Parts: sequence; structure tokens; C-alpha cells
Amino acid sequence: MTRLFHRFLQAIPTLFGITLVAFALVHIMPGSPIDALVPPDASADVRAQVIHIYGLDKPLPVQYVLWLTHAVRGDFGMSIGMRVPVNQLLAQAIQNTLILGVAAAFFSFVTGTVLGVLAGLNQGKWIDRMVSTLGLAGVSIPAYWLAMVMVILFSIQLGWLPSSGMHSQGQEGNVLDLLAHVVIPAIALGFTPVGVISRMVRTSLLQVVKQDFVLALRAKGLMRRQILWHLLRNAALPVLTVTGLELGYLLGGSILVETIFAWPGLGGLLNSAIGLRDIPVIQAGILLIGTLFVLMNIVVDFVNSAVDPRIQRT
Amino acid sequence: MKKWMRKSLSCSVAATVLSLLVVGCGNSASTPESKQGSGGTLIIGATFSNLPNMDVYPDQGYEGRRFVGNQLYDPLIIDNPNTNSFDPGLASSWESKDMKVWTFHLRSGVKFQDGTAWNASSAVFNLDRILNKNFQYYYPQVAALLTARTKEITSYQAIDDMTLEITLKEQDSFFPSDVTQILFASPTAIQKYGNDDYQNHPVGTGPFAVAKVVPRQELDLVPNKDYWRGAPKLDQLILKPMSDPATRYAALLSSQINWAEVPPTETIPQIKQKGFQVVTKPYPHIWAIVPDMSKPPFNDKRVREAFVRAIDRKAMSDQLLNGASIPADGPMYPESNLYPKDAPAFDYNLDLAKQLLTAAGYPNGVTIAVNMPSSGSGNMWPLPMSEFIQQQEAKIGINITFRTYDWNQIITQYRAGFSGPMADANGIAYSLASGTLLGDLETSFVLKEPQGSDIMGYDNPQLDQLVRQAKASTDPAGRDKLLAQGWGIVQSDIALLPVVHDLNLRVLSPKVQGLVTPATWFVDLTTVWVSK
Amino acid sequence: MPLLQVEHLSVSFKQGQHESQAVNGISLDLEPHQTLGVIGESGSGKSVMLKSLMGLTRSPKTRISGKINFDGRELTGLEENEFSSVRGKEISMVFQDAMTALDPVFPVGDQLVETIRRHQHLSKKDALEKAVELLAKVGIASPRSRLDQYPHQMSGGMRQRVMIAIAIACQPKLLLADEPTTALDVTIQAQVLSLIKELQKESGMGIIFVSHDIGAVASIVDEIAVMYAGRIVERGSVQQIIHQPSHPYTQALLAANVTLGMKGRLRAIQGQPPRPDRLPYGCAFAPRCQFAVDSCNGMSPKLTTIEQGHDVACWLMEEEPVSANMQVV
Repeated sequence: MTRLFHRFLQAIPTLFGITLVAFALVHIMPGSPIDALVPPDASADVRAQVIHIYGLDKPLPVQYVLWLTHAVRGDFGMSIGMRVPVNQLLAQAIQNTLILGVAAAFFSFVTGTVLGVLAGLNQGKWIDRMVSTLGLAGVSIPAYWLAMVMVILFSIQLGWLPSSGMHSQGQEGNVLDLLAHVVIPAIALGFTPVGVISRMVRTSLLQVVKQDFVLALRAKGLMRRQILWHLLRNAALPVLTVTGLELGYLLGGSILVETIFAWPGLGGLLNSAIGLRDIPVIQAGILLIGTLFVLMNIVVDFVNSAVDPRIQRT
Repeated sequence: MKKWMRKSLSCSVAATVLSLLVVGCGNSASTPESKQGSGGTLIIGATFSNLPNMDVYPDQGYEGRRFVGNQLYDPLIIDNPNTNSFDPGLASSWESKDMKVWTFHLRSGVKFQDGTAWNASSAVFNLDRILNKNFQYYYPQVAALLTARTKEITSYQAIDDMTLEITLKEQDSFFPSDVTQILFASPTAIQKYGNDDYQNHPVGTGPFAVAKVVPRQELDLVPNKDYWRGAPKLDQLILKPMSDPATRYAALLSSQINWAEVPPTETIPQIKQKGFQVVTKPYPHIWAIVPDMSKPPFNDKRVREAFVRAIDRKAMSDQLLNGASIPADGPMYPESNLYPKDAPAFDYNLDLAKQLLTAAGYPNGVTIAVNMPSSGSGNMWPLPMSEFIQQQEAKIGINITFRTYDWNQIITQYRAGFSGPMADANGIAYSLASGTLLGDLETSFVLKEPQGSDIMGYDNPQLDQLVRQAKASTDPAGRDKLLAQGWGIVQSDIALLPVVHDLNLRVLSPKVQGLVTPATWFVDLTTVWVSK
Repeated sequence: MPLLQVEHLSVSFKQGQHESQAVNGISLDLEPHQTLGVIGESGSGKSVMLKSLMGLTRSPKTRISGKINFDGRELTGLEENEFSSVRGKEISMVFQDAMTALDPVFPVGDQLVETIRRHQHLSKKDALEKAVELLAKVGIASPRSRLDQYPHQMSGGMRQRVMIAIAIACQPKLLLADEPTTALDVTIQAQVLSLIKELQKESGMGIIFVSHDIGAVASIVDEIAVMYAGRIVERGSVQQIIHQPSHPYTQALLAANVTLGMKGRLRAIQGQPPRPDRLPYGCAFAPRCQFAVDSCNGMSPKLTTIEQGHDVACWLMEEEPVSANMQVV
């Protein structure tokens, strides 16, 4: 418990750094929200008026402090483009991104683990080579391409799954309908991590298989599946670390995948916010994603110490 | 629908997987054109990345205006860009003797969808909201967006219950164009919800009303049965934000939507073969390269002409863009009554282009830099188009370096002009809605920043004179004649390097009926229905 | 009838083009209650021989021939799943280093319980009780509190005791000990050895005890077999081997042991043992043997009885005993 507390304390400077980076990035970025907002032929005083409304006429350090003091209270202001509280936008977006991210993480973790185990236990055989090829494909095939191929095959040709969106008309609460919509985007998003995770599982497993205790387990007369359980528990540690980082990536929201599938998540929200230079949304979005990563790291730490007793728990 | 899916599957799954294109098998449905019918649900895959806000000036560009603003609200008068004439809207008639004081006779019997009566006081309420800084419901966020349309207004008042009078700073025969851009909301709703929250509860006089909002995913609209122009035929209208062209294409082909805005141009032949309705129509738009005429090489008209003549704009429209555009000779599109029929057209001619370039002192060619947007509203398909131009210009020795920026940055650069961050560029690829408004000629080619956007360093006293005359003209026909002349001057001076006019590509399911293809960016959905 | 009867056991591994002959026609017998020590340098094949007795060397790349008759049953023909129910139940193994032979991420209690429940139909609770008993039996204080500990939380001696507890969990008839004390301190070594001996007294199991260290083996074994390059080169009672080593290799081994003390690593013998994939044609020790004669390179010598219970495989033994002039210092 104290360790958890310490980890959170340690995270505070990191988070503070993230706020600085988020703020700086947005203000270094060329382009202005006013240009996106006010028609080109608007008069100078109208421009000045709008700049004033959004507080963009104050010196940058003042803007930062104002933003930070509001942010710690959970108030991220209003979206310039949409005139909606940023909190409301981000809450919806992160929820949708989590649905997609968790589905993609589930897909990539399960598939990656199964493939990695198959490859690791059949080292050098055709199945191992197949998994290696697939893993390579995972990191080299663009998500966009894979997404389009799946949409053409499963949505257009076969008509099995919807091609975009989160729900069919009038089916907002229907979980099955949501699942049908999440399948293709989750696979497209989770395909890259499948390669990473399966290779990690394979490598880790091969290292574990070489260890003495595996022979000792056979000498005890344990059956194959019992031994496999030992192997997996031992191979899990590096895999979980990688998975945690991949999960962070998945939960950050993918601009590409969300755009292709018109999935109303964080990536898409940030993408359009960047296009419009919607400063409050971009800042809060970056902060949110940074925080997610920090949290994910803490979670990975704790999962690791739960899985590997050799890591001190104090 | 199901039938062709099966059929095409059996013939070429492998091919499709590789080519990304749905390969047809020679099955094409015919489109039954019937005039009678009603009902159905129209689901539009729109290009915006988010649902626009629903106040009287929706965001998400003109796409927000087209599918949300114009469906919820009405303006006083409605424009016909091809003829630059105006139809009555919430004003049944209007007049101005001196082009300075304008009187609008409001349409009687119209109600906002919450029952609030449409009259002069509700009109004044709306104008106060965007013009009167002392008004309780003054809303600077929306006022700023409309400033370009309202900057000439000095005062307004209700003459009687159904008459509105607007007074301008000076004579402005272009003012009706501006009026078409101002939409009217229910004062009761604004008072009830307040300015900020109003956008979540919009109430207008328009053909549709909001039934349900699924944030960032779907806007469900239902018809206004009492619409003053007659109730829309549809049972339901659904808007979905789909910012990626391929997404809209896939959604249409998998029957998730039955109306797709701008699919990828390379899919047009397949879409046609499938029996979908491919709708194109000219409207006020030009995709051009805006030259810096204050420095070489574009300060020489011969170079500008060589540049234009080197681009095979017909090949670009027909082959590269599969008919989604038409070649441009100048900034004004040919269907408009402002189109200068007698102005010189600079046809594709490589030999002449080479000669011109040599004559201008560049026998060995010239290297230029052009900034361009990566995407964005109205920018069509900048990447393939710029590559095409690059190849074509290389043939006469103009070597172009295209530098890609995101749309927002391009807007900022454009505003700053060629003396700002773009100082090292010789041009900027930019789309203009030229001819949407009567004032476009003045804003784009006469007025410099900040009143206008003539950043080219273009000056022609004859043009300035013509525009001044047109602006003061009390006779619409005479005004348009002068403006056409003006557009002719711009075209022959090659103040813009014209490339193509967009054709507002959209694809509809064969079941979508009754669409009267609009001559504008906007679209009237009241006549549309979807057959079972 | 002997508990274990091994006849002409040969094990070879395919490695690409080559074939390594790790075990080369070994025969041996073991009675219940009896302890056989097998000594030899690393790479002599003693470990492979031990693992082969449990079927742990089986793989597509291994060729095994010969017979292993255990308790009246032939093991070589057993299916893998049949063999696995023999392992840990009737034949158990204690490994050299408990730190690596125990699974680092499971509590020792779990590792005991899974062995118990694999071979005996006990409830989880009963198996846990049994685990506590076993830990107590191998001399671990407050055994109940140890169940939840992980191997890295224990001392080396305690870990080895845990491994022994796992090995004897199902009262095996045969215990195979693969250098079980090598990784331990000298004092702990003695404790563990006496523990094994005690357990044997109680249960009557047969033990094969593999070591490179004659000193460690001598105190607890009845008989010693000396292995070199996959063969047994000398076999006899402890007395015979220690006091009358007859094979030049055994003599060198003993000499090295004396010189280097108990923990000697046998580096004192000149030269390297032959690679198992390039065995010399005649006596495998000949290249390193200071007494080698021409005939040593001709054919490999057979194990020949030189006195009651004492066999040697050396050409020098064929004609006359040479022990007199080869006495160890």
C-alpha cells in the first residue's frame, strides 16, 4: 500500500512535466485557433474580441498558470471550436476509446499469447515460421491497409459485420450490436501488438524452456499441461511489461483507426482538435493520454510484482 | 443489394483483397426514376469529423452549414448562385431604392418549431444577438463568425410587426448575398437555455428538427410537418460524421448509409457499375494556385500563362479525378451568369507554353516553390492533384517543389500573405468558393488584407472601377453584367492560376429518390424520399 | 531380483551431421537398499545416463537402445504418459542446484502439492498436510510457515531439503541423485548426505548417486562405478575403488581429489576428455593415459572382473595386475 502511494507520489513530477509539454506543444505549433474560427475577411477588432474571449491575449506564462490551476480542479475549459466543456468531450471520447482499446488489447493479448506459445513450443517447425511471418506482417502491414481489406471482405463482400461506427440505428444500448461494430476496428488496431506480443512470448518461452526446473518438473511426472502452466507463469514477466506498454498505446486512441472506422474516440477527437487548433481540447487530451501512460506503468509494475515473487514487495 | 454481394464474392475475393477495390461482375441495377413517393430514412455520411454545433452558425465548415444549419433554420432570402437571383425565404419580399436602406417584408404565418411566432421582433432579437453589444443575449462567439456578413450594417429596426428595415454604411448591391448567410433561431429557446446551452436545444423554422443526438456519432432529425415550404417527404434524416472518404464508400456499399458525400474518386467507375447514383453538379468553386505576383517569376504574365497552358486540365478532370471536376479557365465557373464568356481561355498547349516561358527570359526553365494543404474542406484531393501538376509543369521546365502543410496552417499562411511566413514561396494551392457571394470579386481581387484576401499583389484600376460601379448599381441585371466583366479582367490577367472546378461529388443508393440536384454547395432535402 | 537392471544402455544425440555418443553400452544392477555411486568428470555421460533411466532424454533427436528393467517392468518401451506416472512416484530425482531446479515463481508448498496430487488421489487440504509432514521429515523447522515461501526466500540447504522432500513425496523405490550436494557448503553437504541416508534406511529405496567427487560419495555408497566417455571403466565396492583403484583413470581421479581437496574440479588430469561426437577408436582414455601402450588404440577394452565384485576395463589389466607399480601416493 505504501509502495503504491510512493509510486503515485513519484508520478506527480512526471505529470507536471506532461502539463508543461502539453502546453508548450500546443503553443509552439504553427497555426491559430482564431484562423480556424473567424472568417478570413473578419475585421481586426472582431479577431481581437474573439482572441480576448478565449483568453489567448494573455502572456503565455499567465495562460499556463491559469490553465494549470483550473486543470488541477478538473476544469479544462471550453472547446474553442465546439463551445462544449472539454471535460464532457474527453469523457465521451475516452469511454469510446477504452471500449475499442480494451477489445484490441484483449484480441492482441490472447492471439499474441496463443501464437507465441505455439511458436515457442514448436521451435523451428512450420507453425513457428508461420507465426514469425505473421508477426513481421503485424509490424509492417499498415493498419489502414488491413482495415480496408477487412472492411471489403467482411462488410462489403460478406455483409457479416458493419464497416464503421459504434452502433446501428436505434441500437445504442445493445451490447451485441456494439460487439459486432468493434470486431474489425479492434483487429485492425490490435494487429501490430499481436506481432510484438507473440514474438515476446516465443522468446521468453524459449528461454524458460532451457531452464533446469523444466526438466525437474518432468522428473516429478507432471503432465504436459501442468508443465505448460509453469512455463507460462515464468514467461509472463517480460510479456506483461511489453503488453502493458502496448496497452498504453492502444488506450491512447489511434487517430488512424478511429478515423477510418468513424469511431468517436480520443484519437479522432484530438485529430480534429489539432486541425482546428482547439487549444483546450489538445492540451487536455495530451495530458489525459500522458496520465494514462503513467498509470499504465504503475499498473504494470504492480502486476509484475504480483507475477514474479522475486520482485520485492515492500 | 444482397444479390450482387454474393455474386461478386464468388468471382473475386482474392482480387479485392489485393486491389482494395470492389470488383464488379457486370451486374448493374437500373435506377427507377419516379416522381411520386414519400417516407423512408435518409442516412447521410457527411465529411465532417464531428457533429457540428447547432447554433445559427454551425462549425465544421460549409458541410456543417449545409447539413445542419440549412436543415434547422432559414434565412430571410435564399440565393441561386448560377443566376445570382434570390428566392423569398423568411422574407416574402424585399426592396431597396438606394441599395443602402433595405426593407424586408416578413413571411406571415410562419412559426418556429417551438410555436414561437416569426415576426419582426424575433428577427430583431436575432440581429441584436449578433450585433448589439449591450443586448442581454449578445453572443460574441457567434457574432464573430458572422462579422463578414454583417460588417456593413449600421442599424436595423422593426417598422411594424412584419416589416424589418436594415440600414447599411453605404450603397451595397451585394448585400442580399450576405443576407442569405444569416439564419434565425427561436428567441424563446435562446432565452430559455441561454446562449451557451442553446446549441444543445436548437429551434428554428427549418424543414427538420432535432430528435436525438448521439455525440460525435449520429444526429437524428425528423421533418417539420408544418414547414412553410411544405413538409419534407422523408420520415427521418440521419447524419453521420465520416471524415475519411474510404469510410463513406465502405458504409455506402455495406448499406449502413444511403447517401455518401465525396467518395474516393478512383472508386467512381465501380460505384457506377454497381448501380449507385453518382451525382455531380457545378457550383461556385475553383481549385487554383494563387501566385505571388510581386516577385519573379509570376510577376510576368507570360510565365503565368505558360504555367496554365502546361496543365492538361481536361486529363486531370477526366482521368485523374474520374469526372469529379471540370477544367477551369478562370476563377468563375462556367454555369454562372457572371462567367465571362468572351474572356480568353488558356487552353492546354505545351509548345506555346514553352515559347512563353522562353520569351519571359526562362529558356532553361525555372524552379518554384508552392505551399499546399494536405486535405481540408473544399480542397479536393491535393496530393494526387499536385503530383499531376508537377509532372506536367516539368515538361516545359517549370520545376515545382510542393510543400505540404495542414489546412489550418495554410489558412494562417494565406492570411499573412507572401510577405509573411510564405515569403520564400511563389504560390499557394488554395480553393476558393468564388462566386458564392456577389462580393467575392471584391474580396478576393480588389481588397487587400485585412478587409479582403487579395494577397497576390494584384492591382487593376479598371477592375476596381468596375466593382465600385457594380456595388452601387440599383439594377441587378446591370450589376451582374459589370461583375461578369470584372471576372473577365481577372481571368485574362491570370490573377489566379486556374486548375479545376469541383463538381460536388456525391453518391446515392438507387433507393434515394426525388433529389433536385442543387446548383449550390447547399442541398434541398425536402423533395427527397427513400423507397423501400 | 534386483530393483534395477540396466543392460547395454546407449544414448546418442543427433546434432546436425554429427552424432554424439553420450552413453555407450552401460550395464548395471541395483538392489533395494543399495546405493550406487557413479563418478566421473563432467561430460562423462553420468548425468545423461541418470536422466535416461527416467526417460528424460527422449526426444526425436535422441537414439536410445538397451534395456532398463525396473522392478520387474521394462521401461524403455513405455509411452510418454505411462512413463510420466512412473516419474516422481516410483523413480525420483534430486538435482544438483535446487535454486534452478525449483520453479522460481511458485511457492514451495505449491510445488510439493502438485507432485503429491499428480500421483496420489488426495484433496488439496490433505495434500497440504502431507506437504507439511514431508517438510518436517526433511528437517525443515516450522514447516507450515514455509509453504508460502518462494525458493529465493530460502537458504541453499533448505532449498535442497525441499527438493528432497519433493523427490520422496510418493515413497519412490529408486532415488536418482544428480550431484545433490555440489552446490552446497561443506557443512551443509554432510547434513544433506546424512538426511538422504536416513531416508533410505527408513524406506529401503535404492539410490544412484552421481558425483564427480569421490570423497562426497564414499561415505554413503555401497558400490562405485567410474564413468569415462560414456562407459563404465571400473566398478567395485567403495573399499576396492578407494584402496585399490585399478584403472589409470580412477587412479588419476583419486589423485586429483587428494591434491585439490574435497571440492576439486578434477582439472588436474592432463588433457581434455574426448568430445562425445569424436570418440577415439580404442580406449577413450588412452590419449591422456600415461601408461598407454599400442594395444590401447586398437580396440576398446571390455569390463573384466579382476577380483570378486571388482571390474575394470583396461588393456593393462588383461595380462597381469599392474596395481603394484601404480599405487597412489
